[in-house]
Amino acid sequence: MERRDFLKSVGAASVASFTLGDLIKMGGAKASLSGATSEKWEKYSAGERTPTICPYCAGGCGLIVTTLGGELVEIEGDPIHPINRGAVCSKAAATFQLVTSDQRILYPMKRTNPNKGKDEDPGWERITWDEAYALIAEKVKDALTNYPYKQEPDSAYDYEGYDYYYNGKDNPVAWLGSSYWNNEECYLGRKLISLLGSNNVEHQARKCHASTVAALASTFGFGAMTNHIVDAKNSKVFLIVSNPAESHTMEFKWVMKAKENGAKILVLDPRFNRTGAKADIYVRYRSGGEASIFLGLIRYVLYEKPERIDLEFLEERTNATYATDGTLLADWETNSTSAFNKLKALVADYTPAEVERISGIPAAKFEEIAEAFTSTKPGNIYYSMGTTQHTNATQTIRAQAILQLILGNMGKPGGGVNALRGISNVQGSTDMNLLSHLIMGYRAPPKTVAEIRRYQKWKNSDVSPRGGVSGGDTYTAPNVSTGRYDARHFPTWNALEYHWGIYVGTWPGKHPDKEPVVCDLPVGIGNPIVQLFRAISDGTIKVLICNGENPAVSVANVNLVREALESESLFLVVDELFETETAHYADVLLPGSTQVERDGSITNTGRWIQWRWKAVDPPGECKQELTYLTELYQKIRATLKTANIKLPSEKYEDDTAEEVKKTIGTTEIENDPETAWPSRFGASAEGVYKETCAKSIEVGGVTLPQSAANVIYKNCYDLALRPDLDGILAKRRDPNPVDLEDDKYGYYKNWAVSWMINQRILYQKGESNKGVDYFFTWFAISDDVWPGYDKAAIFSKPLYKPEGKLDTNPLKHGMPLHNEPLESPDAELAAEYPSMWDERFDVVVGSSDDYPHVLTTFRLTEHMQAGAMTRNLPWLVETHPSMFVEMSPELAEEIGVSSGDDVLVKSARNTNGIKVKANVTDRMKPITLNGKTIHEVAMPWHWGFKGLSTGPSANELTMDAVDVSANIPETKVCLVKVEKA
Amino acid sequence: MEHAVLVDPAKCIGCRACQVACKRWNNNPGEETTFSNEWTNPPKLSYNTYTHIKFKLEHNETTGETKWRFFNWRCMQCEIPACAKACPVNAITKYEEGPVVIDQDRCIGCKFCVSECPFEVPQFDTVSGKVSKCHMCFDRVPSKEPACVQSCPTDALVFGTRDSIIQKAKERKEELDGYIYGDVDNKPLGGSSFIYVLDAEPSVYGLPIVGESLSPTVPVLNLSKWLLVPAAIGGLAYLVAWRKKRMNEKEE
Repeated sequence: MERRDFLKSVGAASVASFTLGDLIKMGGAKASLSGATSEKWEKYSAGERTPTICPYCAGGCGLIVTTLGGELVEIEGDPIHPINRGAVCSKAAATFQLVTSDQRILYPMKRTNPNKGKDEDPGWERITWDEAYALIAEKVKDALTNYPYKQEPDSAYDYEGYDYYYNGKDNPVAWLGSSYWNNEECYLGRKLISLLGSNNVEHQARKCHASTVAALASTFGFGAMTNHIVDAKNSKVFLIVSNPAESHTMEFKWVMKAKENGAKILVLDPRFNRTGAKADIYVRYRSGGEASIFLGLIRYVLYEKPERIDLEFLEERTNATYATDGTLLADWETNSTSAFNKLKALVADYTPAEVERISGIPAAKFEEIAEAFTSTKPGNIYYSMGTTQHTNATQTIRAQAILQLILGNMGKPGGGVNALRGISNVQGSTDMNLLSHLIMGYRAPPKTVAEIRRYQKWKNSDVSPRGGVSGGDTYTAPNVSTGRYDARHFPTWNALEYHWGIYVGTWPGKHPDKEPVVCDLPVGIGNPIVQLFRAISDGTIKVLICNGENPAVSVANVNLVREALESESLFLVVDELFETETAHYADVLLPGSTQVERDGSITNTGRWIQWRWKAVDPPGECKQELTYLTELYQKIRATLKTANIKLPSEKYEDDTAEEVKKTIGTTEIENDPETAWPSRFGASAEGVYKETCAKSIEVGGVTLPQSAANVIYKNCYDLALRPDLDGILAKRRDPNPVDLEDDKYGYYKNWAVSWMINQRILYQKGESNKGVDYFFTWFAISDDVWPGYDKAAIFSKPLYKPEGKLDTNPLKHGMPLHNEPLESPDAELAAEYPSMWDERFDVVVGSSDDYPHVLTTFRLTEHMQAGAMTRNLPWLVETHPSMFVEMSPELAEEIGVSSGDDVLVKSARNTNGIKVKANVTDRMKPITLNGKTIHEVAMPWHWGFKGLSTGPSANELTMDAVDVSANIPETKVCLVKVEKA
Repeated sequence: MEHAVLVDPAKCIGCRACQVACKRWNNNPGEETTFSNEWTNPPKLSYNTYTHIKFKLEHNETTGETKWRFFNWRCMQCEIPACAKACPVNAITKYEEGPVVIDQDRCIGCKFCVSECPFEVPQFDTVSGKVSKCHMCFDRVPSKEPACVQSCPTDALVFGTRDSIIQKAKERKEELDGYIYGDVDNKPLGGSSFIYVLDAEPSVYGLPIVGESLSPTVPVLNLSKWLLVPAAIGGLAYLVAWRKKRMNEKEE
């Protein structure tokens, strides 16, 4: 439709000729708009409205889709939505163009050019969905043929024969994505790859907040943002080490609300950005110095302002009172062996002068920030990639968490450690654990046969019917630590057995130590993202099914990723909206659907689980992901059966002529993954939703305990509460408060639902009556001591794996410290604070002699992550049409560059460098680090070689070393050399 | 009743939701742009860009302070619109609710409005031979706020009755120790329906000082319509040519 077609007549004056009256008219009384209209308005006002949730960032903003007779008319902010109140950011505003883009893939296609180089034309040929499924299934079958299902038994056990399970790590089939998918689709994705015996499953979350999950879960219980979006309005001071004005615009809406009420905004960032523009105090620091800043802040409180320590909170709700061997100390405040005093000793060195030396923040400026943040409560810490994408990220986040614990800023409105998550459903996709080391609701997959044997005993021993063997060997925890582990993970394995129609245990189960293990869940953790592409390059992984994710742009040192994707041994399947950089390498390319074309729930950064209603049909042969998953699974399963490739329990039955069944109560239940697909509650999004959060399930006439497939979602289905919504609480759209507290703090407890048990502020005592308002302390302090619930971890043992590898100083063990990035610009600092990275695989490291400049990467409001969803939309491309590098006028002068010039940026990973535009700006300034002047430059990482706007990717330069605790790559800092092109 | 929009740059975070929402509501295409060092993009208003965010970075080397201003820019919707007064075919109307609207069917592309607008807002399109500009969402107001206003996350754009907007502007002026542009402190062309409350002088934002009343030469252009009676199109074409020549001379 041309704009002039509808922007035409106004009111009665719709004739394009001139009347005498017009000629005479010259001023006079003004006309009224009454009756003025346009074609757009006519369609809009006559249209049907459907609510959805924005497909871009994890803010969870509501959008309203208007359609008329199936035609999309408008997508705008939802005026009653508690988070965005009708507003949008530029990306959300462009959702209309995402859906209607002529760049979308409309049909399944296969590659005809066997060469997969970046500059090769794939030679796409249109095929049918059936042909696509057949091709994929055949390749999966080839890859899994001869993949061993029988394993040599562990000599520690007393029996003959083999154990039956697939090794989850070496499995040749891998799965990626996606945080753009709804929860139900993520759930089925994790289920599908698990049923193929593989834990080679990853997605965006590894690259954004894996370190958050590791650090916050080990400190508080859950690896999630502790408060929620709207809660910012309750804060009195913000310490922002993120860029929410750009990356999480609607979060910043509420920060600005708080500012109107007098809250102070403190922004720390290597570059002055749109958030810094609104700060009361902006402070520049050198990328990689984050940990020192937070350790310095802890020191500031403990030494300079001890009256600000919340001693009561520490005593009641943390393990500060324990010695690291597990002894509870009455005199913890003075006893030098208490975690509290160990922390105090640890941070003693991080004086303002030392923070200045490491981070480049002038000591006086640091003290100004320290005073502003610690003098006011409640204080709120916002952080995202600037903190998480480092080799020492887990430590920095632990330091943030500890700072908030000692200030007592946890579990209250306006406080918290608030991880801002990036993609619309990245919280949900993380909860569904599309991750190589977790399986559902942050539960570990079985890692050893010893665990599975314990699990069988646990099934045998429980008073409730868990599918064990009556009279069989029963369970006792070998020690407190293992008991905690088992209590956390076993109920989920149990729930998955029933929901997925599989078997986990030993057979026949009576004497688990003397029987073969038969386990349909893949055993052992898979390859995290960086290692996964190395496993493709070395030929271990032969089939990669990549959905709504673009690793050819988004993974650190993307050069190696692209090399892997070019491997002859790899068969790549991509399900996408657009032909992305990753899709460019695909063998089969499948057309996905946009978020307004399907139903399902998603979980925002503040853990609100909201429903998306389908508003329009997908165009062409674009397929809803739920349908795609089911059809793909069924075709793969049928094809595998023709080659006699089955679940381990089925293979065991074939080999032994026994029937592996679960006994529930008095009923024997056969394993049957077919009838259990996609869910026990039906094939709709609602059905799968119920399975993830069903409070109970009836099997064999017996109601089973804890049977939500994803235990942290267990409250989200409640038929009694909302029969009108069929119990789907995510569908609630009532913005009215439930009580005065709700009204005051903006919980919106009637709006959708949040995990856990609709608790809106994690760990807030008394907020919910369901017994989940405490810190979930999973880990024991020692093998024999578990402090009980509600003991947040000042000291946390499970960090710093693999053990024995790194700093063995017992003082530091279990508490954070600063480590230099793997590529440090200062040799002295690097020697003093050695890097702590996962040395299990090689990375290319450059030196500051060759690469004197520090590079950090950032995001723009107008572009989304790896760019496919924005670089294909003209409305957004016009705002930022090309890739660039921000540099200070000082550096520009030094290298003889002016704004708009092409420059080459080189790193040890890309010695030829990438050519980009110089954005010479005072937003960047030189930093004095350890007495030396350091130039830092910054690049957006949204670009790649496909789409309407193309350009080199920042990740062609970045570092692929990973954090030892979380496997997150160090994308936020590396060394480069910038020179005139 | 007359309505207005308050533009509050101190609250603007430069997200450009308004810029995109405007394109969406009006079905205007994205433009082909090039790298912009200051980030304002498209760099200027155009036939297909009714509104954009202007970015202005200031850095004080002595204090080390950096200030980055963002603000929405588009038609001011003047009370006495020079564009409407100059238009020889009465294609431009100021409505009592606030909007100043160009009737696309009537526009003959003479560009009188382009040359007479002191804000350089109306934009001529060589393809269609017409002029366009922000029309304050005449098809939405006053029952629904303009698309840009609805989209704004931080209330840097607020829509309301003119009285309430003036009231808000005065309150914000106090808070910011600032300046009201569009009414109160400065009433360009009789006051505008988009009113800025600024934390600095209008010149800092690049806003021109415009007199309260119309330049007496503007209505003369309107009188050119009488040429239509005897000379119809020919006369107008002459006038267009004459006008163009004069503009060229001015540019030289």
